[in-house]
Amino acid sequence: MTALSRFWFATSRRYSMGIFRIILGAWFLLDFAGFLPALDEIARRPAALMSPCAGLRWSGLSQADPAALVALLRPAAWVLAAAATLGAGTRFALLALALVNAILRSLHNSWGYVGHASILPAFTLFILAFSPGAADWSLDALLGWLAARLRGAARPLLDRLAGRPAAVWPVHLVLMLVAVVYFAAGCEKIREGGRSWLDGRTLQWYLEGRAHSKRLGDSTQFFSARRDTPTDRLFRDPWGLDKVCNSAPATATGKRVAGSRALCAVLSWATLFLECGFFLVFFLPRRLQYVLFLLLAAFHGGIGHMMRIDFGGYVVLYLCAVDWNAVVRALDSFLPGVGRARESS
Amino acid sequence: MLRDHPHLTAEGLDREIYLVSGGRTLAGFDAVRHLAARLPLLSPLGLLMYLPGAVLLGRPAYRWVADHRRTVLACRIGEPTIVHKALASLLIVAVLAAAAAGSVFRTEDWPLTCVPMFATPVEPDGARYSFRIRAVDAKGKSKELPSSACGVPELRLKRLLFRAYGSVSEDDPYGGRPGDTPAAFEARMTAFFRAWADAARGRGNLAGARRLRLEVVREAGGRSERHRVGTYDLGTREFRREPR
Repeated sequence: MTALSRFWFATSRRYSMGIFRIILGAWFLLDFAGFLPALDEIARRPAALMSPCAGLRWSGLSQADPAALVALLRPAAWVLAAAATLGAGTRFALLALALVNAILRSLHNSWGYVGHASILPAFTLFILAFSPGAADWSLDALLGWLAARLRGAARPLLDRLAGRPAAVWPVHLVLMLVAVVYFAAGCEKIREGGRSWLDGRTLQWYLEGRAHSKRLGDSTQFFSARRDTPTDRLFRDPWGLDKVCNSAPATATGKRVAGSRALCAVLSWATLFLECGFFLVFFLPRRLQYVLFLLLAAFHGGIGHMMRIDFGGYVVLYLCAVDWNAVVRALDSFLPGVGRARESS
Repeated sequence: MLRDHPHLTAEGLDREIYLVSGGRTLAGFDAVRHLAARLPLLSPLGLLMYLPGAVLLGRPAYRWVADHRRTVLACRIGEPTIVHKALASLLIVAVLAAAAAGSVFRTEDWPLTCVPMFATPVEPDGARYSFRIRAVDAKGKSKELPSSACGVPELRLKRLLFRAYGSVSEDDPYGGRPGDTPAAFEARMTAFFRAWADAARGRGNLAGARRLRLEVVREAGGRSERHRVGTYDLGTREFRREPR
């Protein structure tokens, strides 16, 4: 019990949720530039075909008019993302942004499709909203310092901005969240693909991009069948339609990699190792943690390059575990006084 | 302090808060609620603390906090308090439960997910399947309609269709239908096509059509095969499977 309590609630000056807030906020601003304008199209869809997802049902808004929600919440999302990034009314902005983002993403995912790339950043916003130290490096902290200075009681500016050592649970929770989802992805590959995943055949097929055919309609999905289906279940079609599958466009690199089954097998095993082994991050020394993060960034970069699928939002999450105070201390050589100020906090 | 208020003792002050006001001395919970009722932001809480029976809870609670302020509740600067730990623990459990629920219950329902992308193996001949919706006119001529004719993009519409259609695997996260029957299948497809046809008609995309035919297409090795699943009659508004 003590070890568990220490794992979640030990304090450290190693992490900075304030700096992570700026990074995550900036990522949301960037992502909103593509996501928010696309919501116009949702407002024009027929409500009768809407299938409210769990997020919308939990919010109690499954009966609300999507067009009205979009009109109301989209401007708020922009303002809140900017406020959260800058740290103006930080706690309120983060919590409100987490709620508004969850509702808008839920609307977007209430038509049968699940956008996996948006799930972890959405959860992380909620974590950040309640994190100790989330208001460090913020306009709020700057204004607090100015007010204290007027009263003649100011600490050094950078000391005030950097805040106090804080409990590590937000960082561990973000990493645990990532670990749970990666582990689920790894298990699903073993469960669904089994030997076909381990010998590289499944990955090879997807990298070849052969599923990406407009002749079957939408080129980013197809359906698969289970040919050993018992006949009493074949009352819909003679093949036994079984699963919705994602497909990816063929790229030159993807095709080159797909040319070697051995390489596909190696990459399949490496994928499983990274996804199921991410839990090791809690047992690794700091430098090896960074190596693991770099490997995962390369993994997602590779997916982006070979399959044109963007999971950049996941890579941003690893940055919560960076020793930003060491970075600030390193800046001392460029900005004299920065490191000293931080050390004294 | 003790000189100005000789009726107080150092031990008493160490044990609980004292409030001396207008010749009255209040201690512990009574002092706290007296203050709370007079501070604008805390006044609602202060009023609650004056409700009948509040002292039965309030005094022991105050006693517990006061007795433990140097042990359980003590913390250094930056360290989480017991209240912080309790609330953070709730958040930790809630977030991890939500993250794991999709996988445990094998569901795809944002933000719940079992992360099934690119895990599904394909048949040795690389077969892919898709749905097609064809409009049939009074003369029996048919033409393919884009599934987006109803105003929902194809990527989403076909997943909605698959949810109604159902998978042969009962635990499939999108189309799992435990104990599915042909009658239940027809009822679901009727409901789906009613909504689809109403939306498509509202957009002027069903002119001249009498029926809608649902087909499954199998494509492998450059060859296509079609299977007629059933027909939705725009007059009776019912979906019927094709006789096999």
